[in-house]
Amino acid sequence: MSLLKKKGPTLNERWRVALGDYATCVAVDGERAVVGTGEGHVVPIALATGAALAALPAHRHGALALASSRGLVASAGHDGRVRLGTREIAARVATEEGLAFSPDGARLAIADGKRVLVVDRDGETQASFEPLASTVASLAFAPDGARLATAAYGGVRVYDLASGASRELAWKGSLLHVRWSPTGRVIASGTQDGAVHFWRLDEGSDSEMHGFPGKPRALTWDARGSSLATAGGELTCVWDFVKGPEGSRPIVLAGHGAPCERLAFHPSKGRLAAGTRDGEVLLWTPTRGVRPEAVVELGSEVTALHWIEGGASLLACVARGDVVRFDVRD
Amino acid sequence: MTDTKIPVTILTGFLGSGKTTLLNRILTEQHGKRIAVIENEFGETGIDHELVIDADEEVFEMNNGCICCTVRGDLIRILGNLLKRRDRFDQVIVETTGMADPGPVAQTFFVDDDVREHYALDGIVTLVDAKHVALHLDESEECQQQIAFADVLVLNKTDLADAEDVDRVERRIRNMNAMATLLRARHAEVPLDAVIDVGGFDLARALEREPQFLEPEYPYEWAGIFRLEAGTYTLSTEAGNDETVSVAFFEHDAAEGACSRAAERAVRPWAADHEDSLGEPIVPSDVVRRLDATAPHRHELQVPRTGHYALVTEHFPEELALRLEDATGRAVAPLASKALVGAHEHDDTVSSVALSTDRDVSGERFNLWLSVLLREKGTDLFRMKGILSLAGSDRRVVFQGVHMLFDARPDRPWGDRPRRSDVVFIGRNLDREALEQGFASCLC
Repeated sequence: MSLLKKKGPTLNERWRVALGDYATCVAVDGERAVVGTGEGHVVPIALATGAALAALPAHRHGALALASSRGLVASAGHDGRVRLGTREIAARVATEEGLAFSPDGARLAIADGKRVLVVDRDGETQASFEPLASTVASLAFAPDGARLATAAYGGVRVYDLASGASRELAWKGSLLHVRWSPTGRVIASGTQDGAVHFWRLDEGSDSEMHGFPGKPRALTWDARGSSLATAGGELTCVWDFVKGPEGSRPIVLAGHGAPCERLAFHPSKGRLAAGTRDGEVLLWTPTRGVRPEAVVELGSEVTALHWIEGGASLLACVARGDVVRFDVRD
Repeated sequence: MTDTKIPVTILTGFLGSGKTTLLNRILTEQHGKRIAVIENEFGETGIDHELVIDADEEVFEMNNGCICCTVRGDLIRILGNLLKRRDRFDQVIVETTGMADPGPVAQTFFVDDDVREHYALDGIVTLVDAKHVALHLDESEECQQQIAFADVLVLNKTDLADAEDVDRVERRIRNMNAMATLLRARHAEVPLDAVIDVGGFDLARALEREPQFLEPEYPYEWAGIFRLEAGTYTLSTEAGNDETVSVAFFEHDAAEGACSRAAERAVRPWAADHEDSLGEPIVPSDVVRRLDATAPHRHELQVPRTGHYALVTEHFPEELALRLEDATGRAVAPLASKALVGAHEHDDTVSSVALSTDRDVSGERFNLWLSVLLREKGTDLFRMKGILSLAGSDRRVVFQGVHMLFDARPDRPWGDRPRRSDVVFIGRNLDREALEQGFASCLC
């Protein structure tokens, strides 16, 4: 018996739901989460209890992407459809990151192949941006909601929604993500070539972090925009955007048994959650140490990870179809 | 979570070559299997199948624009999405547009992390329209590339073309890709096990098709075995494409495989000087005769005693309307004949070069040679395969490559089998001599 009291946070399972199907995409909205599955089901779940609510219409051949805001759910599937509430829009969304609500929930951006559509909550088209040279891999609104950025092969494009003008951030390569810093001044993206590229919009400069042993899978900013956590292959590291990252070394995190598939920074603290390919959920506070402060096993690849309830809990989904809520206690 | 990898078959071929027919046959006959079909948006006709996904052929350059590392971005996304389901597929079939370059499709399976981890490229099956391919070959680089990349070539619609044309097309595409299995078909009717699970990119199985890709190449195109009575015959020719045509005529056995042996026996005489025909009769000899081919001729051919004879000709007999007639003017048909892979007949910019030796190869020198070759010529090298007998190793080493991507590994021990090294390159504008010299410099 050890008399040493374990310090640091613990992950306590509150509830677990077995969907029995691959959880392909998740959106968290207020008091519920919405989970899309490999077979195409779209299932809202009450965050408080884990109770599955009435399912939404399914997507034939599988659900691909989800977004939800103020109770309105948008889903995209392999069937070439986007469902927004009771409305249906023909759109070929290619990736999980092809749907996004604006921060105020008034608008939904849809990556329709090479084209970008912006619709209001009734599905009425507000803007349709001309096709890019390549399929949109990711899109996201800026934190102020005034701009929308897309990532595709050949670069990132930033649209000013009021004027419709756009700015191209060209890069020779396939860009996989759009991650606005919380200040809206930096956009980061993983590349197919195993690097993380970022642009400082005010300065008009860009840089790249090389050397990932695999394609970057997860990128997440901390709440203040001072750190960017990235994972590619076995390497999971945190870059300092206050003094760097140019000329600085990242904090390389240790203790995960397999590549991190998902990363999520706590909404206010400097705590980082990760979900791995072999089913671990881990917590680090990177500024305090590279070893994890807490680890739990879920037994199947983590496909989604979200902080919920203001950072009091974590919601994780795994490939096998379990949705699990952990309460995080210090 | 890593299960066995999902095999992927790529179907290529020009519009009208029968890709969709073959695809439908696979889907019908493989009904027990869960098959996902990835089709280009401009598919020829609808396919009645549970899961058909439209792809938008997007070619990406990786590694900051290295042209040899182009991949298909749409496939990376689609294949990634297909993994996200409870029951994985047993098989994936990718049907490309008629104008697609198979290079980026194949490279996707070696370059992208996720695709490489979960999928295994089984083979590239190229359908060839026997009637129209000659035209496509002349006009389209993509058509040549589709043939060059293939593990299996299906010469389809043979019922719609003349037998002679089919033969000619077969020789031509065989010349371009000496590595692939070649099947003739009507209505894309080929045995499914010939197009599915072929192991085209599986190093452990690289040797299975050894005999096909190691057909020797000769500076002549045809060998025939005749039974002739003692007496005088006539060898008649029409004007051909070249000014002359060389022929070798000698006594030979007629047992099985006689044509191949006759071809082999003609190597030495052929390498020596050829004797211009000055109207003297052709007699059995170890000297190769060079006949005028600018105008029609009737050459006397004397047979000293009844028996079997071999006739080896520089061009295919039909190119010159070459025929052997007896004293009554009746054509004499050969007992057996064989079209040979003509080393000189490379009108197409795409060709195969097979190199072979029974000497050991220095691993270090081979590595160096190949790395320079891939760096300098990778763009033009479509596929390569080989088995090496490395000095100091008791195991066979197998290797394969697509453009600049290259993979090698030790295979089973040689055991009692004779050690030898065989390498085949398929590419554009291959310099046979330089490849031969480069390979020779690696031998111990």
